[in-house]
Amino acid sequence: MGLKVENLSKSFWRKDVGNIPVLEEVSFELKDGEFACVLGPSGCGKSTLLNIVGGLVKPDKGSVCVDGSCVSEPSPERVIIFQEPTLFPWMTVLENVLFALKTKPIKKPDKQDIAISFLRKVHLGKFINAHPHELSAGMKQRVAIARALAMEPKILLMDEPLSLVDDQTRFMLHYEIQQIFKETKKTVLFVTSSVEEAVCLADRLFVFSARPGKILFEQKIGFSHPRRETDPQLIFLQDRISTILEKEFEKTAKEEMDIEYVLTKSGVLVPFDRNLGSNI
Amino acid sequence: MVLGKFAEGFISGEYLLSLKTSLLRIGIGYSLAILLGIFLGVAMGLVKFLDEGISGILLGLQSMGHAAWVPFAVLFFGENELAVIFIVQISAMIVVTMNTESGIKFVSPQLINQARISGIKGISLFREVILPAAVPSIITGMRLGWAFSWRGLVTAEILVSGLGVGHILMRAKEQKDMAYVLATMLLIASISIIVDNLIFKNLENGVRRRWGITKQS
Repeated sequence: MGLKVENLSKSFWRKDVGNIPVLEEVSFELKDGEFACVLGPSGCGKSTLLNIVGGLVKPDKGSVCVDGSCVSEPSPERVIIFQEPTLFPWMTVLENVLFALKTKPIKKPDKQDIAISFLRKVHLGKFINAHPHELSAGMKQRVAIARALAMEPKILLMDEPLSLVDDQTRFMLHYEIQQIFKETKKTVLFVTSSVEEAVCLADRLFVFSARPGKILFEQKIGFSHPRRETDPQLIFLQDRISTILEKEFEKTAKEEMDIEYVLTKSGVLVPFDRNLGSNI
Repeated sequence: MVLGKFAEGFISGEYLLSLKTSLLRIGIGYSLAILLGIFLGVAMGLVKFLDEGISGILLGLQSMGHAAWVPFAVLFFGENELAVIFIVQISAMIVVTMNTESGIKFVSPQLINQARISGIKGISLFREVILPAAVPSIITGMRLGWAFSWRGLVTAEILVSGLGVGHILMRAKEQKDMAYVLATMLLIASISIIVDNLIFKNLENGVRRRWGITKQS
């Protein structure tokens, strides 16, 4: 049982460039309680994959099944945390969380207790009556996380949730996320473009190629949670994965800039015609 | 002199009497405009073919001045209250409709997706997400509609009916009493501004405060 993704393909059509394939034959399976990261260069279809699993986007080919039944529309069983915290601006923090619980068959006072307890879990107990605009980006994202957890989904889908948050908050949230998932044992699909983040959080890591996105390889990471970004073992792993990703990055860059670019040893891209022999 | 006439108008009771008539007309006409305008705007925002069909027509109607409705209204309703109320209504309705429609159409798809993830759909999605998200735009439409309905009212009262503030303007013109004309114009503008400040500004500020768009001083 768990999440089963089979042969997913998706392409988008744009007037000026024609058909753009973004996902190609992506297949993987997650067992209950596994924390999986999808790592890849930007524009490789990671978010599209997540939106398909979430039921917001229909795939061209392939299927997504949860516990045997296939996904066709969004449901509170598969909650997405978006890159930007989408809170309803006219509701308070607490109302935002309660709104997400609206369709749950729970009594009202219980919903209130659940909402408050999850907001406490992300250290926002003092801000339950604030409106979203009064919070910082990191706090808003924490509300979004609390809201997602309060919905008790089977699968949690996270779409680069921490990319807009400052470094300190991000490290803190990495730690908190690991703590929370140790307690709640949710199945998580976490999309990121940061190797550091992926290595720090994932039990299983799917590394994606540049567009069209497909799984290059899978890396299992067995270290116990909670991990710290600065753990030497993790840094070693990071370095190995980064080297592979750099090649992919080069591919994307060449495609975007349309000129012959080469990657120097230090990882800097330089145009081909500006190379005066420094690499000899 | 203008202020003197202004005071005189109040003391003689003429202003109060005609204000009573005018405010009743505008009250009815404007309320109808809001009800119909919001209803039509919502329908257009949600149903695409309605939008494509009606929005062109509305723009065409809007480009006609309020005075252009007078012949139609008089022939259709006769020279009576209904004609005036109709002109007030039609003057305000179009701008309310258009603002409501654009508010509904431009609700962030992210918010709608978020709600769908929470299992909210159908009427509930509309009532609790789409409509509140469109409120700022609807309020703008109501404010504009309020100003437009005054323009419609004054036009109608000058051209159609024998009562109301517009008619005072007309009579003052016939008596070549410039001070009285200016005083009455002052009256019309101030009533419109007072109501706007009392009701709509507060409404708008309330929404802005909740959404966090107010400037911090």
